[in-house]
Amino acid sequence: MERYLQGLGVSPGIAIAPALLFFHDRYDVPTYAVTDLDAEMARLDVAMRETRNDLENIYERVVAELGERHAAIFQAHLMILEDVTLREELTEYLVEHRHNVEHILDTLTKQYVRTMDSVDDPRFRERTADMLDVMDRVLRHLLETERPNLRRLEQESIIVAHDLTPSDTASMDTNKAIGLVIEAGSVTSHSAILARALEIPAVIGIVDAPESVKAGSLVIVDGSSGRVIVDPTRETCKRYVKAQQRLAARRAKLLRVTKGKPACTRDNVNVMLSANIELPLEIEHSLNVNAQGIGLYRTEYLFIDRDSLPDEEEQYEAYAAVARAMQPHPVVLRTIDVGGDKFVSHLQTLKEDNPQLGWRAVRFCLAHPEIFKTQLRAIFRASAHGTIEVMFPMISGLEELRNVKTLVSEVACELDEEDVSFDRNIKFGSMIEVPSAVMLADLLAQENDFFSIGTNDLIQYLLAVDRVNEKIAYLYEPAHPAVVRMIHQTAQAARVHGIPCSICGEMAGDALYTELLLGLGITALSMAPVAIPLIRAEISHIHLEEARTLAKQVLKMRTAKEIKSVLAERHLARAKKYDYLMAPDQFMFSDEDNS
Amino acid sequence: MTEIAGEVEVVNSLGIHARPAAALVQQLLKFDSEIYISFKGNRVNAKSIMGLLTLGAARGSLLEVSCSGPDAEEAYAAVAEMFASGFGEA
Repeated sequence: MERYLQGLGVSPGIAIAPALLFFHDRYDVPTYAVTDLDAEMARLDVAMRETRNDLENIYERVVAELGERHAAIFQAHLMILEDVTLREELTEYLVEHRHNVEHILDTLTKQYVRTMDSVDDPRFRERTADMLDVMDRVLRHLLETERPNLRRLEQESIIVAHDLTPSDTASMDTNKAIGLVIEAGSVTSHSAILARALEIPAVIGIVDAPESVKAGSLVIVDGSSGRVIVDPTRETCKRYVKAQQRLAARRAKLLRVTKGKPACTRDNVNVMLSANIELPLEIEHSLNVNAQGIGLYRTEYLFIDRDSLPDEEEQYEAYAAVARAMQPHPVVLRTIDVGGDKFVSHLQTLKEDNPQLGWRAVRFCLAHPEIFKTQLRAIFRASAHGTIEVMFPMISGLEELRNVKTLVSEVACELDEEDVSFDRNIKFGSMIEVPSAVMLADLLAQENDFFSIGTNDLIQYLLAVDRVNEKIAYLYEPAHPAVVRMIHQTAQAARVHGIPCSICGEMAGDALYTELLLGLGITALSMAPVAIPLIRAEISHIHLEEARTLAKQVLKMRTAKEIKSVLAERHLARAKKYDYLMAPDQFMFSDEDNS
Repeated sequence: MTEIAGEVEVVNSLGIHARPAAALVQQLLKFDSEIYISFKGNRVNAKSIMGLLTLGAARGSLLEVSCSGPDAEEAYAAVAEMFASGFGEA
């Protein structure tokens, strides 16, 4: 019987393959008496040596692929492996109890976990994860069991797991791991970021994911809708395979047709199309689709899933590399946009009731000027290697913007005194994503070099909808008349004051909205690289004058439904006529198909 | 044979987590002296990352350090210096 599981899609696309269950469970550890203690110690030594090899290999691989900063944790793992106390305790236990070493290792590990967990500070509980990771490796060698190794997969698989650690994702065979279904995590978790960067469809938030799927069962992952289908019928499979093929063929065709051409409307107006990226490896995707720049470079990946803050040098290297690679195109770098739960897992002690309304983004940066200034220094220094623009997330009013700018000037002065070279004409802009910023757009426009509307957050804040909460997710509506008015108001203010206004939220990559956005006065769009060819095609069939007329009509409409039906009709007519229909699943299948 | 003891404070905001512990151990392995750190009745070998991690010492914790051996003074200075600098973290 086919089953539908609904989660949150964090990386779009369709993948169909057998499930590979990836467990972090402890192993069945046998207990038996031993007589030859030397032989037993020798077994342990072999297992430890093998573990050392593994860790060194991972370390080198991660350094090569993701850089030194992501690899540092594996150095700590090596030290845990070679720890003197651990060694002493293992030896003592062996001499005293004469048990096999796997049993001893398992017992000691459990003792450590108990001690660490007894510390009444949640920040320290996470320590056990590192230790367990190392101990499990040794145990696996002793028991000669391999856990499903994501590095060498035999066939294309959908990885189904409770959670994936950085070491899991870092060593994953990304040619064979073609889809992810994960219980834990969030849109900004490490696995989600990586999945998007590698363009692997991924769905998170499936409760008891590994328990709900049998190993080897066929699974369909639809990363756009967040749907996972287990044991699909032949009919369903056929439908998805078709959809997948259609999608792949369209993508290839779109890329071919639009490659090398500017995004230009029928009446010859150029629209700047740039890419949203998180990991440096996405630069290649961006260049492949002819992005005219990076419209949103998210820098959070440097800060999450690690124990310590990245220093100026690390950040400088990262930013400079992106600036250099994109030359001569501009790179719009967004300063730290996390806080609350996401930031350097341990910095925050208080659990917030409302992290989305909490201590994050510029609020967090202004409270930690030392962290913020380090990032700014790194950005300034990197600006010598390309064209960097900087935008500040979650600006809610002028005071905040001015406080941020004071720090910016301080950093510029410091660098001047130190005779460090940087681009003196760096442009600074604000993300418009808090409704108050829209209300003040006319004032903010006078103190910004550009605006970039972050529609995802703006919609959430404006409509008071947490899109991750499935009970109300249906209220999240980009076509809501209030959203349209806000975009209009922002674009108008920008136009009046002569600054560009772009959109870097998901709306930018959804062809349904392209005509409306251009008509409302948006001059640039930034999106996931994969969406660029489609939007470029859509733009080439849009007439800007018509778009303005459409926008005027839409601004008078009263409901999202009304707005959407007009937009869909126009987009579908174009896409069908010129044969580039790529629409997400609402167009691909009719509603009856989904029941 | 010298013995020296004193108190150090955890000043980095994240406390003694994996990276500072690793950095500390790496420094202290150079010394011949025995170095122990005590916190809330738990006494651990400062050359052991596992020991340090079980301390659960957050920012502001006061830890007792005792060094004994031929290079106890240098070792103690090294420990004090590492803690005072916050292990090079904010």
